[in-house]
Amino acid sequence: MRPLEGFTILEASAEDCALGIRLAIALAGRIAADLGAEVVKIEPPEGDPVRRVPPLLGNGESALFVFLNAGKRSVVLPSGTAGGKAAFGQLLAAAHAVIADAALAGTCELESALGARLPARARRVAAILSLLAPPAPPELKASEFTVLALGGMLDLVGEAERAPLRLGGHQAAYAAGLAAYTGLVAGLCGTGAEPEIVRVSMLETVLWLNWKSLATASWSGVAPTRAGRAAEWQVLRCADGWVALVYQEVDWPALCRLAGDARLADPRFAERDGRLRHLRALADILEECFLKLTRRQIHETALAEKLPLGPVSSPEELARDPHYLARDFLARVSLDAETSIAMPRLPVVWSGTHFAPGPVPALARRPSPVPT
Amino acid sequence: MKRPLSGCRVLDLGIITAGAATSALLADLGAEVVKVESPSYRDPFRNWSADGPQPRDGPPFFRFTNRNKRAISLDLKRPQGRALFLRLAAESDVVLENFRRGVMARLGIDYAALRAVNPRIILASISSQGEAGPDANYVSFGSTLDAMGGLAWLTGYADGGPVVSGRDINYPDQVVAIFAAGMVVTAWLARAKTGAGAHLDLSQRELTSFLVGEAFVAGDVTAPRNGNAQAPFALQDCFRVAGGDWLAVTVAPEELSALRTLIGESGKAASAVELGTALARWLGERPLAAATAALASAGIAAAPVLDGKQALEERGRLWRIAIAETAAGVAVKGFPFQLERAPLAIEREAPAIGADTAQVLARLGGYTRAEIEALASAGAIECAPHSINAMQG
Repeated sequence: MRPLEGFTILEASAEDCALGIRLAIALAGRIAADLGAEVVKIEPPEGDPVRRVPPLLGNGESALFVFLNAGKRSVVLPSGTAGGKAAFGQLLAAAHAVIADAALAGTCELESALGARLPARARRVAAILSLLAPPAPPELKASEFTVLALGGMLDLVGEAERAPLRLGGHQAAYAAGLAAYTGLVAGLCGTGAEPEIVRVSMLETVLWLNWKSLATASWSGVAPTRAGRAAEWQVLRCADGWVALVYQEVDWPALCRLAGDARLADPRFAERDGRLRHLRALADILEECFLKLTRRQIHETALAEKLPLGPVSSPEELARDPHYLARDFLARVSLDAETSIAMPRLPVVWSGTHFAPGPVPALARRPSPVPT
Repeated sequence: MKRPLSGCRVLDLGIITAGAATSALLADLGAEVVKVESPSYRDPFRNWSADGPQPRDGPPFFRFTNRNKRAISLDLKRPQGRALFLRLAAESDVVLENFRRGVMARLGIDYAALRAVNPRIILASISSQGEAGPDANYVSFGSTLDAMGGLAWLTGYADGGPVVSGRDINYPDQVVAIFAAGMVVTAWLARAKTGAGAHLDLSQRELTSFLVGEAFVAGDVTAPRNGNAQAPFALQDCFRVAGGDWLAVTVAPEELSALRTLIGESGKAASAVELGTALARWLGERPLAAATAALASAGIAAAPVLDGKQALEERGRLWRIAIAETAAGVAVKGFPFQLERAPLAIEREAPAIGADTAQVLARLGGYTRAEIEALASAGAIECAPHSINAMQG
């Protein structure tokens, strides 16, 4: 039995909902679906815009949509009509929780709609997401990317002399999705008669993730910034790709053994302070050493010596990774006769059981009859 | 105030960020979190300062991450300390740890041992690679997992190699706290229905991969690295304005004509690359405030690239909860979301070593003052100065 079996959760968004918020809502719903909740995604007749976001798979489906919506039920409701509104009200009346963007929450009065308690049920919950929230001025237009800029995360990644860089994928949106899920399930633990309202501002979530930089600034008046080749931890080339140089002071001797280069015995590098003053020179020497080693060789030494070095793998390589295979992390899912994909399961093993992701919902050709 | 996790007691073996930030969030949600250290082993964050000038209020990263908790100190390597821990586990709901794999078993407090004293216990094990598998003993910090989980492969300039989030973010160590807290809360909610405890095996590497899950689905369709560009946006990047500051800009396809009009390129059938070059030139001639305002007036999302200090200065203007303050006005970690009925709040400062050992052993374990004094002088426990005297009775 999955931990959220018996719970029904709706996902809904306004027509002009920002893409980042659509992704955040969908990720929160995907987690709930994998954990056994019945998750109902409400879509307009033309489908969630995420269905059309590239990259598209061989069968024309969006990789993003496929990943985020496995295991859900899709219900098509005509937007902006009385019938659509009434049908949404009916779905809402039977749901334990709803995940929505702030614009939708404002127009459909979610709080009062959730005010009526379900029979013999715990507290109902609305998780309401936005890119920015008060005190930010409501007219300030934002995107997931500009939220990363305001949250100080862009400034920390990339080369010092080049443009600040976003992390791959949709990290701000997905982190907001994780926050929405955690807030929602916390809300479900409550017992009050009033519905719990979870507020997620993507900017607050990003700043919370970036706390170390803000903490440092709070006492020193100076925040760290991106250093590229002069960073203490960075990606270096190796014989067959790249490896992330990550280590603590205690790891220095083992790192020197792995590199096996007499130049590392230079007194400049003996203490961390000296290494910090000569980071480029150190990176150059270590890269020369790593270029003689494959990722597998570095991996094996790191495992044996307890070194936190990170050989860089692509998602495609990870789909065949022995550790991931042993843990059944990726399910092979057939979308049609010709398209089969690797679908990550929820990253938790629950008392020895992992939860296989469910099928991806097709878009109904006509508005769904609302179940009674 | 009654909070979602009121009545839930957590024995917190979490250290540094991944573990200690997870239990911090559980404390914010109302759990009674008892941080467990040892006379011979402290949370490394207690001695882990940032680079640069040192703050006055004690080890800052520890202070940020351990507010709202109590702290006890037991020597888990001694039979007496282990027995004390198991006695407390019998009175608790959750044990949380992010040690290297094998440590819990060596200490004799693995899931089987915990379940023997408390069948309803929820054990949250946060680890680099998960409990089992050929890489189970691989150790990491966040940036290791950027690399091993596929995120670094997807991060970088179009003409360059993979990039990690780096020492100052260590992204996978931060983000796991929100997810792991969510899984513990889920287990707590489920336990209320079924009565059953659980062992949650949480692999940070798997979470990192899950958070780029669409790239696994896409397989080789994905171009690995593309700088800041991202579908479905027509144009997305950072541009230098006059004076050298960076401005982050996102332009949706339906906003292209407004952008062309704004920068005097209307009527020209420029490609996205050409338009990007034209926008870079246009922004390079304008100061930050004017450039941001002009793009805003054209309905285009634009924001200055702030560093941590500048982001902190926007508190009260753009945001309010991510960093909080204790009653004494000391800055600490705030909250990644907020609940309206049971608002998350800072109620305690980060505890000193062993600040609550005597009280917790008396209250939960039923130990007398004499027993506690004997355990302390034997070195099995450690009590903060004067805390035994502060005991009632």
